[in-house]
Amino acid sequence: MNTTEFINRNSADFMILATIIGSVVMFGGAAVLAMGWAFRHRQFENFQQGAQSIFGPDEPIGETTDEFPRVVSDSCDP
Amino acid sequence: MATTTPLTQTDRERSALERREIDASCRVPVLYFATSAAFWLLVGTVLGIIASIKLHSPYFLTGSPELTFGRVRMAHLQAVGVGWSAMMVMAAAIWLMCRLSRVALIYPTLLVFAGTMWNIGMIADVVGILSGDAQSVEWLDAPSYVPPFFITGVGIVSAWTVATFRRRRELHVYVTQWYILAAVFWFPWLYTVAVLMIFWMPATGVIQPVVNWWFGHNYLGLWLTPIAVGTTYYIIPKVIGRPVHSYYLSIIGFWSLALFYSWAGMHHLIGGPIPAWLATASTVGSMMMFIPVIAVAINHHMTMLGSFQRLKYSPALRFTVFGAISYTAVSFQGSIEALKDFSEVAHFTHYTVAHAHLGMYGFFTMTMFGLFYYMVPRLTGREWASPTLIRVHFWCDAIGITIYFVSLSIGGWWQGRMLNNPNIPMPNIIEYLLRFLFARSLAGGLIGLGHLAFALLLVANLMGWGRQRSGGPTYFVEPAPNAGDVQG
Repeated sequence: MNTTEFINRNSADFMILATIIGSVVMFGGAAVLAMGWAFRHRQFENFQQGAQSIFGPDEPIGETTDEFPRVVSDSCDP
Repeated sequence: MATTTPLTQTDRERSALERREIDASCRVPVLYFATSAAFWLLVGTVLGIIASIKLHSPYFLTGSPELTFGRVRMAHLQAVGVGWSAMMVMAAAIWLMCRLSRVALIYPTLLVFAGTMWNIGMIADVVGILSGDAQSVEWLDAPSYVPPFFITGVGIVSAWTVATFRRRRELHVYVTQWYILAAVFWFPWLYTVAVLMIFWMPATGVIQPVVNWWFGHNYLGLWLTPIAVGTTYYIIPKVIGRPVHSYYLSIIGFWSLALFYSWAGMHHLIGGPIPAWLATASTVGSMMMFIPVIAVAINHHMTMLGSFQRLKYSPALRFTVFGAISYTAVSFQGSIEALKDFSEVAHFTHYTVAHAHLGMYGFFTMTMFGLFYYMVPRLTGREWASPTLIRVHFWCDAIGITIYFVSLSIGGWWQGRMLNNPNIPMPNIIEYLLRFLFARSLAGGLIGLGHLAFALLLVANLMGWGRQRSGGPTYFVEPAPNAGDVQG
């Protein structure tokens, strides 16, 4: 192996290592940051409210949004 | 926006108006992405059927190099795996993020530009592969001139999704939003790094397949799966009007998928020349995937409990629930396939092909059809033109994928057993497989018929041939007038 090949191979190895370590830091770091943000903003505190957040006054809990007939009681466990 | 206080008519009208305005703001880009996705699905279906027929009738379409098996099969994978799936993922991400954040989409034209970039990339991809420019790297088969188009397109969509989230008026982050945010963060990074390390500054030796399957498996697990699972967490509760059974479980499911899925890719290289610890770590990661999958399965089942009768009526619900059940099945199967003993038989056989199609079709595609049936009428203001065509679509696809999965699973398993037996001559194995390959073509034909029905419905809806939405949705069957509620 001549000097140029040695440098090229080592720079390729360095790139791979940098990418792998960078990925670990970026993925792991982003997950930690996201979890920290979620805790700070109380996203994990009121699960009941979280589950209900997709409903609204026009599409409330207990009413289907595929507009099934709403004649008989359409109960649901909140 | 929970609803715990008594509602007035004004509240309802204001909220309905807000929802209509949000839908109107994303109508053009979302429909553009969704119809482009449907187009690539049709292209991919034709290519898939041709490739399937060639496996049992090798003299079919042999007149041109463009239609040789190797090229057609790669073009099929790109058309459905990158054209249909990714464009549908982006349509879902934009629409769901706007709705869940309760904000209108800003600068929709830029997203149309992003979709055009992706479409140009797809045309170059499919035409390039058929012309002989493919790269021999699975899931990254696209010619070398294609990635800049994809990176530009997905970069814009990701930035827009995050921008929409940052402008949100709904303070709670619903589990679907977690899945979407994770996907739009993971995928651009995955794709850019994979292209960089395999093509632009290629790593040497065994690192290449390692990067290849790190990308290939995570393309499914960190790009397509999060959006499809997130879609089920939105569509099922919304259609039946019932919050998800355990929101706690849904959050556990998300974070455990985020933690474990990215380990799993190396199980594609079990038995290959990679460090043993890498394959073992991947097997462990694959087994840990039982946690999010069981969490999602329990949650969906318990949410649906008491409402299964509704599957008789709602197309959106039926497709989505079919997808959710397939998710459980394919994920369990995938974890088992990562075991080395099991892999000794199933690896490199049609068994793996059956598994891949259960995931990509039974789970992902059926879930996205569910989203189509729910989303498109709300964007166009028109209901679906024909319940009969929806029935044709559902049953052709459901029966088609079942035949596909069962036939190739059985055939593939025995193929693996026979390949491991040195006393069985290769021609005997090929002859044995013919019946299963015929069944696969039959299944492909059925699925193609379903897609034709779906395409007709979509064109009719876009052309305004369905009735206005105020008249109620298109059911599979009309509920009896006095039957009222259809609770099961």
